[in-house]
Amino acid sequence: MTPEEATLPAPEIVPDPPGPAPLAPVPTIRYRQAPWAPGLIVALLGFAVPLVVGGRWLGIAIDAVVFGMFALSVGMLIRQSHMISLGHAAFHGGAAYTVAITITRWGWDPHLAVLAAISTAAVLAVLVGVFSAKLPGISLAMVTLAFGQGLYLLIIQPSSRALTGGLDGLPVAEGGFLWLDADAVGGDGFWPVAWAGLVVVGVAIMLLRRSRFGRTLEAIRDNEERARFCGIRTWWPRVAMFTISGVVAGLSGAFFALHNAYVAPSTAYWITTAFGLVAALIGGTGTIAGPVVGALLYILAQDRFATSGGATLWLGLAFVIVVVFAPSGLGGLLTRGIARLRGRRQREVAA
Amino acid sequence: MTIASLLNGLTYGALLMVLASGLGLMFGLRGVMNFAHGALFMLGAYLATTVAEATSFWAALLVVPAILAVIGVAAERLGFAHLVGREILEVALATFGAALVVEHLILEVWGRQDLRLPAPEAITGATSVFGTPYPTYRLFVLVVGVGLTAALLLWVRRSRIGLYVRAASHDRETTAMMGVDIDRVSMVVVAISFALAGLAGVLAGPYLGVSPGMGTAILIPSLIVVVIGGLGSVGGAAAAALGLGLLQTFGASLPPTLAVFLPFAALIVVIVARPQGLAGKEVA
Repeated sequence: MTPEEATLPAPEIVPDPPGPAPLAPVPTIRYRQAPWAPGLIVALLGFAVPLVVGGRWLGIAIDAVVFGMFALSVGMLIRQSHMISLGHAAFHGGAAYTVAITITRWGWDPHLAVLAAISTAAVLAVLVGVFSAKLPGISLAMVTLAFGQGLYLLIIQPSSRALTGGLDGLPVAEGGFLWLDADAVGGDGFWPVAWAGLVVVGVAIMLLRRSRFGRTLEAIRDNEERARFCGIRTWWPRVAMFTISGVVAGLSGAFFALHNAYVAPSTAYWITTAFGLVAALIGGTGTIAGPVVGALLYILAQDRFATSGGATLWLGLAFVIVVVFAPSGLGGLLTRGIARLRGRRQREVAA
Repeated sequence: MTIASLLNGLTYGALLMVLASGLGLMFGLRGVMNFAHGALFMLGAYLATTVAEATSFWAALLVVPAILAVIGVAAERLGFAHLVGREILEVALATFGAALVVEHLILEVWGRQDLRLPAPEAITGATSVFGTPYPTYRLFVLVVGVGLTAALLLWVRRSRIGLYVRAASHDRETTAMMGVDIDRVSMVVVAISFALAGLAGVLAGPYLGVSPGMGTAILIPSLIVVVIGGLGSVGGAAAAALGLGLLQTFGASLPPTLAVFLPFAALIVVIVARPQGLAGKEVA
């Protein structure tokens, strides 16, 4: 006890005002002690999906998981850095084409092709990120759009036909991947690989959020100027985040090319990015599951309305409604709903 | 560079000018990057085919912008007015959703095949420009486009509502405090922006054709022009539109592989060198 404190009068003890009794502990699962437990359970249960669903639905699930990775890539960029990229299709398409070109044209091993694809996406993302990371919102969206459309045009150029197949796209020669044979890669057997990819991406995002780097990014996102005053360099973390997100988009593109055995220029077209954003925002970017659920809804809508051509109508409507009425997406609605339910239960226990 | 190719560039630039000035005006006042502008352009062209069939092309030139203006008022009242203060890109993506809906509905009504919108008799054929014969209709597009944009600029600079528009684009709250009815100014601006998109659609009908992909095809160049010109600047957008049109003409002498990248290269160079665009924050 310091001398100053010793001279202070002893604090008067005020009795608690009579009020409701202190809250009784709510008997719930000790979620806080093992926050990773639900995720782990979902990740493991995911591998059992082929036991429950099959045929057409499994195909849809695989497409949803692969597109979900893409939605996650644009979603994580929004969540972590508040950057909306309209050029991520370039990393998706760039990687998909790298797989197709290296396997079909140059006869590479699929594993090497996937590595090359991810490297391509990384290089492209660094390039775009260096130019755009310091730009404010709408300019960033436009510059990434310009780069993305540049790559798209490069792919469909008549002079690059010999390499990319131009507007016709390019088939991917069949081959085994990891423990899968060629049939499994192109069919329902691809599920475990696709799911594992998604789990790896999800875990990486969780680790990123918890890391020092993730917090730095959040500081920059919330107030770039203040972050700079605190001595944080704000440029390269944004470039790094853009690159990480681009690599995830690349992984999605590489998986897409392997599974579909065919890549079309639309994989690199800006509308693909827009639909990735639609999926991410419908599901909500606040959670890891959000964009994946959004992607599932997107793929389901495409499948359901593919013949009648109404997919764009319903997706567009759903998207307008979500943006207007549920800004944080379905995930946000759910989180708020759960919070409200919890609050009510606590009040009931207290009463 | 021949006169014909120069005129081609200018005509395309004039069309972009009409689209981009409306887009820029709306962004300046409303903070809405309207990704549905291409869909409205397409709606204008499709409506024009029906109106022109029933009456004449000239009637379409008047009726279609009026219809689009009414749609604009509805969109402002039911949509944009409720999205004030929201993230710019969130609203932009909502307009992207709306564009999907509009384009789908257009194809439901008019079908998926390409339609024809013939130019009126009086302005078909060719006119000699400095000894070079050039399609009369394209000259018409050029004149109308430049004239309209000039009128819009004059309106923003000289009229009372134009003054309100400029003031509100700089500082919405203060302008409202000075007693300006921002909601009405917004309504006028959105209506004009929509009407211009529709008018550009009618103009483009006989020139570029009426096809399902026309909205998406024109959207990206228009957005590029608005961003290069300086977001929210009508004058900047107009200058950038003509510049881009001329750039394409210049690009025609390059190998085609390089030419298609010119608009994107221009955008990246301008944004990186001067993030606020050519005109900065000047509205007109």
